[in-house]
Amino acid sequence: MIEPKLIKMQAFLDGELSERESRKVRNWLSTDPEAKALHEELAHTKSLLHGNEPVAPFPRACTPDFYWSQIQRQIAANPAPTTVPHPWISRWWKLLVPASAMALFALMLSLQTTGTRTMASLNGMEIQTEIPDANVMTYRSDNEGISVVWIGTNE
Amino acid sequence: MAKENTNSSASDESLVRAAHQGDMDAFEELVKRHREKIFARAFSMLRNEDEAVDLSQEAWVKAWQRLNQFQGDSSFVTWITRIVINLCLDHLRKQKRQKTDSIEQMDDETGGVERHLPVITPNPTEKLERQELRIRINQALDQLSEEHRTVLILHEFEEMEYKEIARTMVCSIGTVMSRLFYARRRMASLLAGLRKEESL
Repeated sequence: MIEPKLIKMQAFLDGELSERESRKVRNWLSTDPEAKALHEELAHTKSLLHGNEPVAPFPRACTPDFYWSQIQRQIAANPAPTTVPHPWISRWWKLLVPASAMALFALMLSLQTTGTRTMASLNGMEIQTEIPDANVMTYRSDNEGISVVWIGTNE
Repeated sequence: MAKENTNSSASDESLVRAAHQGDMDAFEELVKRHREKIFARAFSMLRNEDEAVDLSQEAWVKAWQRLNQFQGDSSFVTWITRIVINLCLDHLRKQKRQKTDSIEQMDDETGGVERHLPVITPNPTEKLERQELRIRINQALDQLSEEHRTVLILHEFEEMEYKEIARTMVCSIGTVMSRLFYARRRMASLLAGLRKEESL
């Protein structure tokens, strides 16, 4: 397990600390020579790596034409890109989830007012939704005679 | 021929727009422009030329299939680099599952020997030529574990923040910070070791 202080020292080096926390680390480094030495080592390593990434050359054996032909072949085996839906469709689609949730909630409320007998008939009933990637949570209280359905998206 | 000339002078953005409409020549131009960078990123993570070629090609195919998801929030090259990084991480995870190296895994999380490394004092008088330094960094990267190498690449070369690395590597920010700390310590030690070896 790494010491939290050392993690903070590194976060300070990477500029991921708040000004208040940075001040604390600066004070610590000014009074602790060991910590200062470690900080210098980390900073030196960081500066050595900066702008010095070793870049592997593209393999000579794989000619650009061959490389592209393989990509082309795989693309041909897959469907072409579909066009982006118009922004207004996307906006309506986003509204569909809360709207569906409200509609379902309203449905539950109206069924509740018609009595428990109707609610009982809902048991085992399936409600289908066309919303992709949605998650649903339900809560049913027989004592209070209510059912609540939460619908959300996983986005 | 005229179209080829037009494409070679077109911006990435306009090539992406054309490719989105199904223009394969425009997409080929994008591949031509960025294939070396995408291959290099795959190679830096996988350390295997054949796998890097395969996965970089797969990244291009995925990019074509997902062009409609490219919103232009970042540059095209950043976007496709993220695709190849994710493919490499998936590939490494699959490989890892096939191995039974629990001790290595434990060392990656706890730092293994890097915990006890003496602090390396930087020598300001020693200036390496850039090319020489890159060769040494490459040798040192070879010796890091996959997890340490990946976190170092994503932070130092892709300039990703802790949070973004955690999301990409599907781990906690604490794990990212810990891995980065040990990776840097190991790099410092390896680079110093390489210097010593050569001075003998």
